[in-house]
Amino acid sequence: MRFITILTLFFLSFSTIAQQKRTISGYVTDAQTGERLYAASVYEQNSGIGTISNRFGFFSLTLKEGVANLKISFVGYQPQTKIINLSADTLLMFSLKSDNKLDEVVVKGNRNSKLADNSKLGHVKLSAKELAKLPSLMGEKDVMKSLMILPGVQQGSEGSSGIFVRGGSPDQNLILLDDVPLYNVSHLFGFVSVFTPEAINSIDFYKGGFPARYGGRLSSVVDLRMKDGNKNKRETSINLGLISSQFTTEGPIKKGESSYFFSVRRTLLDLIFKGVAKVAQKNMEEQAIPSYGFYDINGKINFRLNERNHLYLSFYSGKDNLSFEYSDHLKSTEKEETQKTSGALNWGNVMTALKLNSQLNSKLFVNTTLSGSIFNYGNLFNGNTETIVGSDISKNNFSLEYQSQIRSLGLKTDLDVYSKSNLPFQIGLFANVNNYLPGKQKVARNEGTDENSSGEISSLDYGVYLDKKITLGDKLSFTVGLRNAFYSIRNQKTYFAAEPRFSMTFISNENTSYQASFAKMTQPIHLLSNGNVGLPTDIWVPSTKLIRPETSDIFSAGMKKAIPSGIKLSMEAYYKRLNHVISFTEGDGILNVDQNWEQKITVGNGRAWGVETEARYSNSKLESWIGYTLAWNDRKFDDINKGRWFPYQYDRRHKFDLGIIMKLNNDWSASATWTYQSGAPATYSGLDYSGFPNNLNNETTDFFTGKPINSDRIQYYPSINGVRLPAYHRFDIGFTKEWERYGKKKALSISVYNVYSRQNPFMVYAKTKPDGTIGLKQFSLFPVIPSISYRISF
Amino acid sequence: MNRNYILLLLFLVVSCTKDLELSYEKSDQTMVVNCLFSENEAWKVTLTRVKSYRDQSDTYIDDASVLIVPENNDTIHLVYFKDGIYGSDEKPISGVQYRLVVRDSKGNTITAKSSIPLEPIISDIKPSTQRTTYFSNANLSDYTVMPLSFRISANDSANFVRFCFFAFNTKWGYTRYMVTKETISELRKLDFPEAYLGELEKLIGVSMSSYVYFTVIREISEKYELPSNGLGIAVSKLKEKKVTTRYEDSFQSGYLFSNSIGFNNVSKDIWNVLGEYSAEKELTLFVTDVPVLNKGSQTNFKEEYWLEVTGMSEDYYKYEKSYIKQVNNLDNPFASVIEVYSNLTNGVGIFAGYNSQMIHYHDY
Repeated sequence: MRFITILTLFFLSFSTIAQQKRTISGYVTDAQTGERLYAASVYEQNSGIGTISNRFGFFSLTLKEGVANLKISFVGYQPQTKIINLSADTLLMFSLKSDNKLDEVVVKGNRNSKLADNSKLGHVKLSAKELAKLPSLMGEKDVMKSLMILPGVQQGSEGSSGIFVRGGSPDQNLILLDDVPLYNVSHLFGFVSVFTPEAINSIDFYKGGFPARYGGRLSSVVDLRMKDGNKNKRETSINLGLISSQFTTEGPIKKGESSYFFSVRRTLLDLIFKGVAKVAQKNMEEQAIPSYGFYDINGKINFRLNERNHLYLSFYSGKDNLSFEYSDHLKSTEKEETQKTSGALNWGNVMTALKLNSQLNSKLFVNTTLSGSIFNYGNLFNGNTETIVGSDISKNNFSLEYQSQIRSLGLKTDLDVYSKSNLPFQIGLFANVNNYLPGKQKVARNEGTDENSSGEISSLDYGVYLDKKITLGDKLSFTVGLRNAFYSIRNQKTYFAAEPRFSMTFISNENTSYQASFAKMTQPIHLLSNGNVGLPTDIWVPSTKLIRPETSDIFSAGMKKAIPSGIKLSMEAYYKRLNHVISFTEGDGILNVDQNWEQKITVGNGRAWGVETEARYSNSKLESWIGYTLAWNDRKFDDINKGRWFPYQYDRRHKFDLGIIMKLNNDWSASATWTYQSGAPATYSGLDYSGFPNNLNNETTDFFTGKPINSDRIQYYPSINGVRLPAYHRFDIGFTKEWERYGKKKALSISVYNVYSRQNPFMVYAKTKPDGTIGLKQFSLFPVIPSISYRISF
Repeated sequence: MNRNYILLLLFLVVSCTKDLELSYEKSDQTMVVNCLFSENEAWKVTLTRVKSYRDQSDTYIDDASVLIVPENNDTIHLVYFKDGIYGSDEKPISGVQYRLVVRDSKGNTITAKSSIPLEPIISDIKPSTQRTTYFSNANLSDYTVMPLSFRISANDSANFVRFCFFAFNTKWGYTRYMVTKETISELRKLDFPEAYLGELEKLIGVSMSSYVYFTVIREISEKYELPSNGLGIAVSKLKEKKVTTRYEDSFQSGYLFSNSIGFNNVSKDIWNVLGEYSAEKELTLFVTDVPVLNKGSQTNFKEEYWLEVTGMSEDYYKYEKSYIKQVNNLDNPFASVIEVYSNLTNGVGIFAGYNSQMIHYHDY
């Protein structure tokens, strides 16, 4: 109650202030689609006062009474100017028309140098248009892969869409789709992410300097906004690719006011696999039918309730399903036996969000979101054997079912409050109810059924945040924020986290700025990985009485400089401290699901530091960039490496990124990217010593050689992750032709992945050579892969 | 085209392998100390160095100074015997804290501390011959087992124990086998290869149980081309000797499981149950029914059921647990690396006390 009173007084104070000046508020939209534009610049040219539209296209600009010469601009759109005589608070709508120039791939803030301070350290904004220009893997553009070309962002193993940001692990990335967190965001074991590029309107990526509205993860935020749908015209497109094909349709429900968006993407691999296998094995007694399929469905509708209120309802559902069927029929004079085996592995997210945008007055914008989501992972294995001997029929049945699940329900309110200084103040409240089922396993066979479960854990996360920008003169500005969160685990414990956020910008001249930031982050959820390769079988577990939330302290400082020739330079150094990170104790995994899973976990610390540099050049026909990252990344657990620091699994010292996108003519554009990452650390040793095997298992066999393992010898590892694997590098190119004929837009994309067919290490294993010595063998995925996709829109 | 061709084609398209030359550690001079001590045996410490997979045998350390320093007592100097073994006639005493100090000729010093814990007392043993099914979650397999319930005492605030199950067959267990000169000459007359006979000659005079000997002879026989039914003939030429002692290698190990809280099989292991407890506990283990099946309806011998109870120091417990984990995960290409625990500073291996008791709890 006290808080609400203070809040009310706070807002009333702004009403008083507003009487001395006049406020222009409103929305910036795309003239063609009616979509609201985020981060558009609204700038009064005489006074040099400006602001930027928020995530819903809303802006509020307070100016002195009189003539205002406004310029509204947004990257990829034709700027618009408007002169008005400002004598009262005014509501304005601006619709910008798209230009045909080549857009920058990665936009940091705004091209207007006077607003350069809005470009925060560690923040990158990417639009769907920019994403569409990048080369693809087998015809698939990918949102997550587009982030991997940025300094400080690494990819995991070959093909994986999990990103490792400044020494963090994939679970430390907060991935939001229309403000709802998603968990495993990979299809095809990580080769493609779940985000259909054509359904995404914009991506905000933060690797440092986090606004206080974000929390719950330690290392990065990937905030994706789904397209609202074209409010003016119905559009349908069909995209045919090697991995998947998609259908998208959008259009007005009520022209200019309300719209819908619907997209469905589905792989064709399952049909190909099944079809080929069935034809090849026709009339065979033994049949093995593999299948892999995935789909994504995105939907969104939005309604203009009135001039100041807008309602959005978005929906996403995606699922992967890997399955196989095996059958065999054996017949002899003595007996007849039929074997049928089937297995399925599936995982996916379902989410829905209802948002209400309200402009309460010219200085106060409120967004309220009610959301729900379910992440589900499960597998099912069935094996049935029927044996007939004479008149006796015996049946042997076995089935294994495993399930892991997270269900969440969330409510949050975000308020953007604008003051006379045109520096917005953000405040918000949030609450989430989460139910975790780390693992439940059911095994049924002739003898009976056994069930094991980790038990379900419920938690309530709630809190408040605020962010405020302060300026000291023209050159120095600060953003200070605080996020206070309570993580209450039902019947166990409540953790409180106070997370201060701070960033500072000093603009020495209109082309150079220096910045520094600090953020404390807390993560109440953890990902337990089974091994060295990221699999959907990795499970999410909450903090409990025994397992504290993970925390991080992230410091960063850097500079940005624009050179008159059009080159933009940036350099940033960071240091990240991680506390209470968890890992399975060596050799433990989730296969033994039981109530004691917390006992199998070890808690430790991490540290990461490095320097990131980038140079970027763009003109109307060309966009190019070069990035370099020098980084260190260590972990320390009492139970691992004798309690000493060791390089983290994805500690890569150097990373280079080169890229170029060119508009060749009116129809054709070309792109090329080259990435290099120094080798990842790994643990191998050709050493052993004698042990006391006592009553040890002597039936274990080496996975690769099939030979029995000598249990008398202990494998000796002088250090964990003490060996460096070969470097990862790859060159991709792509060509896109876009043309229009008979009112239909068409696009043809041809791309080549890994042009020089580099064999990058996916997995390395020890193997005995013919001469008896131990050698290491590397297993690689993806040699050179050409691909093609075709899209038609009407 | 059958499915194998399709899978092969798919494999060739999307994957490839190649040999790697990485500068991983292939040689190391780290000292290895192995010493598990109990009241039943005199001090014996083995010193070797970590070796490369390529080396056929261990490098023994024969010039080190090895001291055992008991708390409140005189230092024991161990003397070198052979094969890296240092020993003494003195035996450790339960409850005394011992410090090991090893100095090699290169000036490296290794130290470790441990003591023999008090022996756990097992009482109220209630065996059952009622067969039941035990489902191993780690192996996703069913085992036909028989329950065994008992109480175990707690001697300390933290107690560590290992259980193993053994069966002793009174028909075969009291018979020892050995290779003699007569065995070799008889096989030579039957045209057995000389290289094969050379390997057998190394076993002359070594007494073993039937289980062990048949395994050893089989392994040697598989390496050579022998006359028809060569293995059977070779075994029939071994000399038999009846004894009255139950030799250690005459016990047959069996599967053992537990579903009591705090007492578990480690990883996929099915031979040992390890437990950590702080108060007296009542627990139920499940032993394999293989001995019962061996005996069937025969009445001219017994199958004796034995429970081995090993009271372990904490260091031994950690060593054993990590060792079992390592061995059981070597068949998993995705498993993380597992380091075997060591309580030695500046070296690897183990220096730890334990006690062991064999409890004969049932005859079938």
